[in-house]
Amino acid sequence: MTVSSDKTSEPLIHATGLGVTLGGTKVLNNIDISLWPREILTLVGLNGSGKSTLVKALGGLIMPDEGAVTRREGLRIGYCPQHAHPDNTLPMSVMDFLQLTQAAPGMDAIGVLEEVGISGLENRQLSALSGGEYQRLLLARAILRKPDVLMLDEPMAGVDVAGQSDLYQLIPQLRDRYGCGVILVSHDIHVVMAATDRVICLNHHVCCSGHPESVAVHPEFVSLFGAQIAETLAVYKHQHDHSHDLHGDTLGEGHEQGDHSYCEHDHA
Amino acid sequence: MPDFILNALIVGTLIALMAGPLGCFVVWRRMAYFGAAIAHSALLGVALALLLGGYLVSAAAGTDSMGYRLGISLIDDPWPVVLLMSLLLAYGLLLLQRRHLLANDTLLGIVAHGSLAIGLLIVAMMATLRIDVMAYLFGDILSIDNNDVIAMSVLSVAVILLVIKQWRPLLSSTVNADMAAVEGVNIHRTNFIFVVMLACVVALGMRIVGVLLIISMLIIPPATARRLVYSPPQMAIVASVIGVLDVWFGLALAWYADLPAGPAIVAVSTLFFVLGMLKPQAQQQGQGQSA
Repeated sequence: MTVSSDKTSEPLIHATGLGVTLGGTKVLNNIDISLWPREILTLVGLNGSGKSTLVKALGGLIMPDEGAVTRREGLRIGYCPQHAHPDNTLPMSVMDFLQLTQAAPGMDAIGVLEEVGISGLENRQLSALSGGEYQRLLLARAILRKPDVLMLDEPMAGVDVAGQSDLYQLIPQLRDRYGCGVILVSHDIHVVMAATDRVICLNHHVCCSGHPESVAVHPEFVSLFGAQIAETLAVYKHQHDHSHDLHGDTLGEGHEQGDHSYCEHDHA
Repeated sequence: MPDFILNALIVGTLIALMAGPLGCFVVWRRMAYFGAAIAHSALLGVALALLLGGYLVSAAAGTDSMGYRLGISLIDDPWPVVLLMSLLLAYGLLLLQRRHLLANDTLLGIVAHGSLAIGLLIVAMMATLRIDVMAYLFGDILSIDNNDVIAMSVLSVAVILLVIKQWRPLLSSTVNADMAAVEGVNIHRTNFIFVVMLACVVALGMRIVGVLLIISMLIIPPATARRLVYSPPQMAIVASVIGVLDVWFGLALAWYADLPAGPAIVAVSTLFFVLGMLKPQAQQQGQGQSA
């Protein structure tokens, strides 16, 4: 049983009217988004839809051209970037890599490696890690800071299918253990849906948002990802979710983002 | 041993010591061409220093004024202007790159060769001064006097201390700038400090090996060291040691075989790299126990 997100308190990160222009192209336009404590929020969208840019803007890595991002004071962010493999000319062990960051009190490198399932690799060189091991190492470095928010940009890139489902199970576990909010970026809509509280479908603006089931049948989502994918996805969700009372409902009024206090559900 | 060789040894050793860790960052960050662009543009700095010096001298019209002495010292010793020029250029390049106007290597190629060409033209047009361009392109250890040794030693030691002090933010932003930024590293500040140190190596190393070869003092020793080491600090230290040996052997070769010092140092450095290639790559630590 996972702990559902806590929306009684202040959001961890809150953005209104967010707009980002990169190289003359408007990548993000008028985005309103909030991340709540203990919430797993997934950003889906096609390649180039602005997912990574949105995460960077929320994390303070990119200054927005319009709108404002408010982060809770003293917010600690753990960020796992996309394609982060350093150059092969850099000789660096897993331990060296973890020591680049300031560990939070009570956290230690050996412990987090065990937690993400790659214990015993501390002396391994980064260049000798597989794609899956490297993604877990990034995750280990992020949680070493005991973050309030975990930002994972395409954490499944270069990970095989078996590894992907392991990794997706790990994310809610980490959320439960550290009570952090999670922002997950993915273009792989199939696997993501199982371990998420809320989905935002992005295409330079917010197409639709809400519970995975409702987003999967939303007309904008369907037109973006194709009817067939949306259909298999909706079926997939229905088979795996038993305690939800909004089967098949489209995203209507009353189902705006941030308003899901009545959605009790269980991701086994 | 004559004084000029001793001076070249001291300055060359200090430059190799600071080029070790800085060169590692150049290699890790894939900034070899960036360094080369700054180095090539140093000749433009030389040309501007000579222009300014020549103007000051002629304006003083034979009187022994402050301006006259400053002019003479600029003509004699253009490296402070070169340092300033390299710094401005490097910072300008950083800003340009951030705007993604052109592919990085294209932009750097334009800056490197454009500024080298303009520098050569300015030097060629100076009728009143007879300048040996070769001394700037390939280095001239005879031009290092005792005052230079003191100034250059102070600057080298300052850079070495700074690189030690900034080691962690520099390394973290090299591994992944976004992760480093989220963890509180000021990326712009770190990049700026790095570029300042790089400009120092270029301005100082120019005297020994010249603007065309200085980048090799930054990249060849780390490339040679890479095959022998397992961690970033190891690579920096080994690169420094190899760089110092390059300078010593190169100067010895130049002295005994009566060859130009700059090319001799770089040739020795290249020889060490090739010899290093014969050694198999160091085994990954911990591979056996966890593979």
